Amino acid sequence: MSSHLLALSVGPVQEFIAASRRTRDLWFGSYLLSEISKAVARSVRIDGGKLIFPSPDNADELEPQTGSDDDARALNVANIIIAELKDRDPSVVVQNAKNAARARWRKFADDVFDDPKITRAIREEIWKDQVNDVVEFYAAWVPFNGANYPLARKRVTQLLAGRKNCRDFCPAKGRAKVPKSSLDGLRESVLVERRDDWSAKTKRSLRVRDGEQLDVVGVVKRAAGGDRPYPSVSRVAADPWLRGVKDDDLEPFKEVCASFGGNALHRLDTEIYPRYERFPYEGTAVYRNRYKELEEETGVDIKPLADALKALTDKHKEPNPYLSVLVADGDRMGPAISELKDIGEHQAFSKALSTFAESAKAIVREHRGVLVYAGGDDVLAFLPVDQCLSCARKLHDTFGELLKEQSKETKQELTLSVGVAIAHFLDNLEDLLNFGREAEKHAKNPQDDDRKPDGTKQEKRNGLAVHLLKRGGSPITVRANWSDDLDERLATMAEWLADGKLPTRLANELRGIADAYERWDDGNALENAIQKDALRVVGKKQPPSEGAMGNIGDMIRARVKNAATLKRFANELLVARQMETALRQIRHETAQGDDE
Amino acid sequence: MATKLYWLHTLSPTHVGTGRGIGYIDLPVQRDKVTNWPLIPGSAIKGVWADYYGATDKKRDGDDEGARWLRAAFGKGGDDSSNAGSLIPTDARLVCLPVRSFRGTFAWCASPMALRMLHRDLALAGVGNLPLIPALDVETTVLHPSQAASALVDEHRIYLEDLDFTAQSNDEAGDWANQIAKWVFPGDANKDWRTAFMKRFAVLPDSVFDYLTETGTEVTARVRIDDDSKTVATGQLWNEESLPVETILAGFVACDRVYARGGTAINQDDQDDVLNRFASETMNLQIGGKATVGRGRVRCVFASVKG
Amino acid sequence: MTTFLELTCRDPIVSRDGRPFGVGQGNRMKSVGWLLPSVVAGSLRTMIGKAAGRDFSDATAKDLLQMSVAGVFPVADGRLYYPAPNDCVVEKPDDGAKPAIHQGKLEAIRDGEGCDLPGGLAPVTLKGEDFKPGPKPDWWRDDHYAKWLVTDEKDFAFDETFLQAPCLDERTHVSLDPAAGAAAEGELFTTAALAATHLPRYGAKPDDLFSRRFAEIRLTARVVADGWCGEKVEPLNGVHPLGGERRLVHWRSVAEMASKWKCPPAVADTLSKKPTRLRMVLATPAIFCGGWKPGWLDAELRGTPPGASMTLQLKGVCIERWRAVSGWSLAEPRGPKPVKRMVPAGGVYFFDVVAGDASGLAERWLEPVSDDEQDRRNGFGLALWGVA
Repeated sequence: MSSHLLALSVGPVQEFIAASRRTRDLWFGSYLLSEISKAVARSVRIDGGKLIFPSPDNADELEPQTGSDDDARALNVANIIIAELKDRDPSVVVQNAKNAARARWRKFADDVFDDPKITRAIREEIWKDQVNDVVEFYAAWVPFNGANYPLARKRVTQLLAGRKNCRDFCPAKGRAKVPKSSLDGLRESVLVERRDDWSAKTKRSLRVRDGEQLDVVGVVKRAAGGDRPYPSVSRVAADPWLRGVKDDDLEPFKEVCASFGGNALHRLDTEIYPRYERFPYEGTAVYRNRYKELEEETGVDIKPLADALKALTDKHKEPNPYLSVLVADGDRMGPAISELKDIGEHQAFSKALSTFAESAKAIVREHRGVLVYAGGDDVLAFLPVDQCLSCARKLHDTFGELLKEQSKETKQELTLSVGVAIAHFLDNLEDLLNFGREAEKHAKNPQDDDRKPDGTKQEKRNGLAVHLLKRGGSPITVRANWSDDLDERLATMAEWLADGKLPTRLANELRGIADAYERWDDGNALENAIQKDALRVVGKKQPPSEGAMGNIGDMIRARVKNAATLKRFANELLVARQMETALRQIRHETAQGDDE
Repeated sequence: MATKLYWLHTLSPTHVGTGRGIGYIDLPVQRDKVTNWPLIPGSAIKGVWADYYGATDKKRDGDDEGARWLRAAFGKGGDDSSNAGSLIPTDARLVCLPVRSFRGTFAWCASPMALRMLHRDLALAGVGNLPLIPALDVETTVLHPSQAASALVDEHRIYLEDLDFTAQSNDEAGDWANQIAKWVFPGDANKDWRTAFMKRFAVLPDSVFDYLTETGTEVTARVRIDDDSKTVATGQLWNEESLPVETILAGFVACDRVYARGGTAINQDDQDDVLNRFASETMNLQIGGKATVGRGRVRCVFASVKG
Repeated sequence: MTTFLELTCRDPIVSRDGRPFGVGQGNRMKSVGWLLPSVVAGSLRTMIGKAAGRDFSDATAKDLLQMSVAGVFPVADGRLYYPAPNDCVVEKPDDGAKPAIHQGKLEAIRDGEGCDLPGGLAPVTLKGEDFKPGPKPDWWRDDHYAKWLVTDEKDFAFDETFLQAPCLDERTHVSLDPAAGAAAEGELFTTAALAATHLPRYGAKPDDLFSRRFAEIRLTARVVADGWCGEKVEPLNGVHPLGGERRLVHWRSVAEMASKWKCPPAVADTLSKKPTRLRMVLATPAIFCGGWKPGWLDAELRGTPPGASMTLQLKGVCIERWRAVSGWSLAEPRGPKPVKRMVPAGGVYFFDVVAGDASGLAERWLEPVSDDEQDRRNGFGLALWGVA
């Protein structure tokens, strides 16, 4: 029997990753997909396949994860697997891999179903309709005798894409009068209709809202892998504020949280999440406007918590509800991979990527964030607003360094584009992800009015884009190539604002001027006028303390040439204002002290 | 399905908000997704309309005839469609935007496109004998009614905000002004208003109208004062957008046939009755948020589409 | 009796996906990208029932369900538009050069190659493994579509005559707490609807003139109805809600639409020349009893489409992932309808003609190929035919 190159792909990506209400849905969905991919890779390896992508150093990395909530869990595997088969029948290897994928999913699903506190909440007949019809699997292979790897890889990728053009599926086993999943409406709910007799344990595991409906995928994402909690977006949003609250004030509040309804508030494991030790609970606890939902989900009287929070916010004001969603993606990876000459090069490439994914975990952790996904060249994470820019920069630089060798092999500099969306934690999770992805797309592709200070076009890719999505307003977006140091500029502006060196309203006034000039034709005279107008506004402003207005003036002289560049500059200030808010929350201790 | 036309005329700045809007405005007004012109959604009208007729839950629950009519028109509790009322208002779309004018204080501005959209609506509703859409393809010209002495013209020029135009008198512009004035300011009591409208009506080039609908709304900076320090609370500064006073919008209201469970079924013959009862007299409404600062006072005038 | 309807929208139209929406069930509505056939059929049946002054008894409902409703499709400048075919991919060069349009083809599997496709189907490959496909227009004008179906020459470029999906109108509603005069905590809800008065033109820039950015559209539907239903459809002219949230639309019957629903002569001509390989493109989502696989194909993937006479052998498939459709039944059993899975519009099936003559397919232009008769009456799976 001859040798083959094999390519596999598993899904459903959308259902596992996009459809989610709670952060846990999202995180567990991504983990599920990775575990299923790992099971496929493991099966191929056991069948004698030589893994090319991913390319783990040892077989242990492909073993199923047991302590599933481990933030430092081993390999996060992308949903595509490439391997070389020697003297094996590809169709047999594929069938085994398919069975392994299904078995891995069933293990998660069965564990949930067999858990007595969940079983009672499930309509078994509907569960059974659905449970075997979740995993999607696609495979293609070509003969490969060791010569001309790029051609074989290209061909197998092409066949896999062609195979995936037929998204074959079974008809639904639909049932009348049963509500559909609230997450995506794709299947009927498996939850029983009556919930008033659910035990506290059942409620705590499923955390469904009144009227919320979950299908088999939704229940598994919500309840599989034990009760160990995952940091919520609200916890990440509240992080700057929590850092600003004095220990003496926080301790009594933590005590109330600890005793609240006997574990009704999820407590984070501080060994896994040492960065949240200061307040190891979900952020919901510090946002008053979430209490109604919290009460609904847990069925516990909210009053003691509400009283304790009031005592805290009377002294420390309210936590700001914004957080950042970071989406990073390697640039031109497809063309780069086509340049790899042999299996060895591709394996080294895979290893470099998985080293990057490992580093990404550490980088996100250092920046007090939570990682949803780091596999291949993709990263998805939530970060406190004050940390997102330095995290983005570190990811970008690390990517470049770790793939330096590969840049030579692939004859192009391998770079990372990063999109950061700053948005409200109450925005729908699906929206938060989309905001992040939009920013990432923007980071790769500058728009027409994204210009360098000299008025020329910005380069595609190797970029950073920051999108601010205020509730109510349309997005305020800024984008630059990494060489323009947008991250540094925003951080500096935010510092100035937080130090009171710039007046808060400056951004709006500059934006107003930009809008007024927008319809005018560009020209030298205009450049002069716009710059002068902007400087006039800066000149007449009185910053509250020892100012940075001179620096702003210099920046305007260097960077503002026309309405578009002024608008861009004003947008940078508007984004910096949101970061200022986070900085002020962190400094609250001193600010509060001054007030008193 | 029986229908009537309704007109909204803002008497104070009116803010009907939205999820997300444009630019750096924190609280923008709702806008049409295609034209990007401000609008007032039908859903914002329905509630205050019911309030105007005192259709409280309690009153709707009654056994008397009044309660039965209220139930029939506005539905009963909740928003379950099986209990929905028979009256369905559409969104109110922009027809005239008030714009500051060097002469005559302000102008009621439409555009060929705005009139074309109004024409399409009216024609589908069965209104006959509509004026033609005035042709205007020069960006620097503004049309005013030929049938009345314009209050806007200053030596053949019209100055709106910081833009200046060649003034051109036009019959179709006058026909439209006449028609709209009759609808928005009906009856003897409003005679002077009709004259004032004729004198201030103007048709702007489409591009200029589009520009003014984006920049010509009222944007107020609002602040929340910190109780302790008596200064602007950190981060509590926001811009709020409103439709300016004298904005004119139009929409339809239809009376549906409803199969009410436990209510009064509205059959075809009753539809006109419901409209006559609840969509005839001019209403002064309070639409959108910020009533405490005097926002959202709106006149609502109904007009028949027959004949 | 066949009637053609023209629908003129004003307010944005609500066509929801299957997620629960309403008090305590989710505060956020999601729209599908285009009106589902069943939404149009449901609204029209309600309208006809009301117009006839009938109650919605079982007998009335039965009559109404007999009506066949097809559509809706956008019409701009008097031309019908169809959803983009899946077997098209756009390559947009980095240097800003003109995008290349590629057509998918059945891939010949060479010795030793393989994939896990069902029933020995061949993969349909689109040139596209080494570039990220560029955006393609969502709606294609009938004459461009005809060319796509019968020739290899793509002598058209994507220009402003191609249209994009409707703008999405999302509105946040607050329920006001009368005591506080402010939004009640957690009582925000969002509706999503399709702006169906105009469709954005492909490739338009934000500062283009309005007419360059948008095409004014109307919608067209085809209704086959007999008896009292037919009598009420034929003279239709008035307003009635379409879709959810009772958004008013103007409906009227227009005889001159008939020709637009016919197979274009260029396609009919090609089909009459006894082609051996065919493509079937779904103009509306289809519901098959075999999921992705039409129930009229046997285990060997061989069979005859509904209403046709030739025998076809399935060779390849180019479809997107399934989507769900459900809805709310006012007839018994009252409540949420069972979920069904649809092959999305734009899906392409490749066939060989193994017996009989393909020319008859010109008569089946825009006729439904779904398996269940009621699904066909609801307008699911209207097919366009061409050669491969």
